[in-house]
Amino acid sequence: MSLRTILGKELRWSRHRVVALLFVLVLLPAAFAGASVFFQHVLPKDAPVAVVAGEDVSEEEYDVVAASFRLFSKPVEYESEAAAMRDLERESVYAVVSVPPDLDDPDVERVNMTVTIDGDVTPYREPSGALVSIVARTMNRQLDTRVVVQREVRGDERKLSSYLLPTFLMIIVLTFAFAYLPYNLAREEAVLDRLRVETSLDTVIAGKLAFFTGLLAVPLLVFHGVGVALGYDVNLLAPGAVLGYGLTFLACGAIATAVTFASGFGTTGRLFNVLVLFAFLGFSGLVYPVGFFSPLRRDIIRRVPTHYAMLTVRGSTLRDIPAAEFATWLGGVALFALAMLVPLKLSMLAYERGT
Amino acid sequence: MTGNTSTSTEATDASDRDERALDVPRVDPASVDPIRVTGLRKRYGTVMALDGVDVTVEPGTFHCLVGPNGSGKTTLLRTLLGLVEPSAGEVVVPDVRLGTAFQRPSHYDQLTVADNLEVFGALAAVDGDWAATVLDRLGLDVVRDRIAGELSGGYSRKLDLALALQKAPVYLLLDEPLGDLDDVTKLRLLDLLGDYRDAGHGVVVSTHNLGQFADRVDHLTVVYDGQVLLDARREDLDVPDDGLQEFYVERVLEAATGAEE
Repeated sequence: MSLRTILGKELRWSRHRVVALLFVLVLLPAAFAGASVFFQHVLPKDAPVAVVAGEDVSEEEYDVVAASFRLFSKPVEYESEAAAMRDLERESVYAVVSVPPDLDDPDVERVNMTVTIDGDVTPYREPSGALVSIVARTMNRQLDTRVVVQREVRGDERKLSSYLLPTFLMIIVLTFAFAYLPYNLAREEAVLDRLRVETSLDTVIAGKLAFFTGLLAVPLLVFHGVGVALGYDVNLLAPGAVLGYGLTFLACGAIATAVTFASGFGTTGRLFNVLVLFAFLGFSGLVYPVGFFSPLRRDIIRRVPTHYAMLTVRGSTLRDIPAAEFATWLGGVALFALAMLVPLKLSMLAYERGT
Repeated sequence: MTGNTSTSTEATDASDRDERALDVPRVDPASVDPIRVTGLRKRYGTVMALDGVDVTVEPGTFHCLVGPNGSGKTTLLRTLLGLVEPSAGEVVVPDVRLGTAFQRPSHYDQLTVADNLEVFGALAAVDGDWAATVLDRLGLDVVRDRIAGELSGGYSRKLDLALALQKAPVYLLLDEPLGDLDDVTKLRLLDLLGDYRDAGHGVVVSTHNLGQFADRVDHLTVVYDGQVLLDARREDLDVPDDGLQEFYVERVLEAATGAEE
């Protein structure tokens, strides 16, 4: 009998928490189930590859090479090898191949073709081996000339553990923004009324975002220290990395705070922040090259500002590229952070009017 | 937020009450504008929380906003504090220090009592000596190193009151300030609030229990169903202190009966 009463109470409770329950039991599972469409391949099939067409290369020769890459990548035409190599460093492309001249010259018996990859992009190294074999087989089936495709690794071949160090720190930064910051804010909800009398909500939130951004120096130093202790060649204190992490936290912290205010510090807001966290983790291209799982996911990732923050961080920490080289991307992430202040301000105004 | 107030800690009087009052930084009521509320309306969706409220709070007075639960007292108080945006009407609060204690505890739960006092003291640039006096008079000094979130309901209330009082605000706006307090602390607080009033500060108390303030009140505003039922100076009411609570309840019951008819 008492069990029936307790079950009855749970039913009454669920009637009062219907929005939160719908979110947890319907929206969240639907989002996760729906997200499965973004994961279609085990091998990267749509990672962009730079195909450089020199002046003495015919259109037909370019088409043959591009077509042979199309099966397991997305060929992108480049006119200069320098531009392609620059984009290789910035992970805009994951391999560079120059179309060799005389490819369709029947008098030439053998042509060498080199596919260059970046040794720092560890997850692409093994897939690129498979790609080279497939390209070689495809081209030799189509052409009379024998094509020898070689793979060249630019720089040292980085270990996966070393490659993942900046990625893990980015995961910490995102988790800090979407999980810890809203939790901290919610713990102080009761004091907000007094703070609004003594100062302003704008000052309180600006102070909190600034303080928590500063706190990121601690995990940054910890990761750097661990990296040094383990002998990794990763400079997490590079200015580009510090800016990348800091701007990412500011932008995501502003989103998480906006959601917290908009939901009136409710459970739905906390759960929504978790969902947004998963979205950023899944669609920032934190570990794998874009195009690893599906073309749709690649297109989405290319529109997510935190993806460019991650690329800037990797370029700065793994390849020692100066921050100035990433000025455009960093500026974009900074603009994104500034833009996120608009929904934050609107949600704060709504909260102030609502209370 | 200092506006046109003037303060002084000079002491001259000899009586017990005045000795305590001398502790409170003085305000010249003539130099402070009153708080004026005219035609105030506040609507939450379909609910009219306040409907055409006119109230004036003078400095140097003990002003009770009294009414049953849900009558609109808290909304009115929060409007005076700038925490609620009026739907219509005018609220003019002079640019002076305001101190407040809400119904719910409003302090940093994870900081100690002393930390809370320091943080909010720094925001309001309070006088340290006066803050120590407030702490002592509220009997809060024994818990100054305790985490605020671990305090009992009574001490939690005292902390909120201390945060308001340590500022020596020109206007004190308190929502049910005696809730959770033991009888000794209630008496101490009422004395302290009386001292504030005597020192020229305006004290506004929102309560549903007028009896506790009956012998202190200078101005009474009865709020019922979002409207002002009665707004009068204490001296204009021909009611003894011990009959004030009953007087107010009768006014509310009359209004309720009238509304039903």
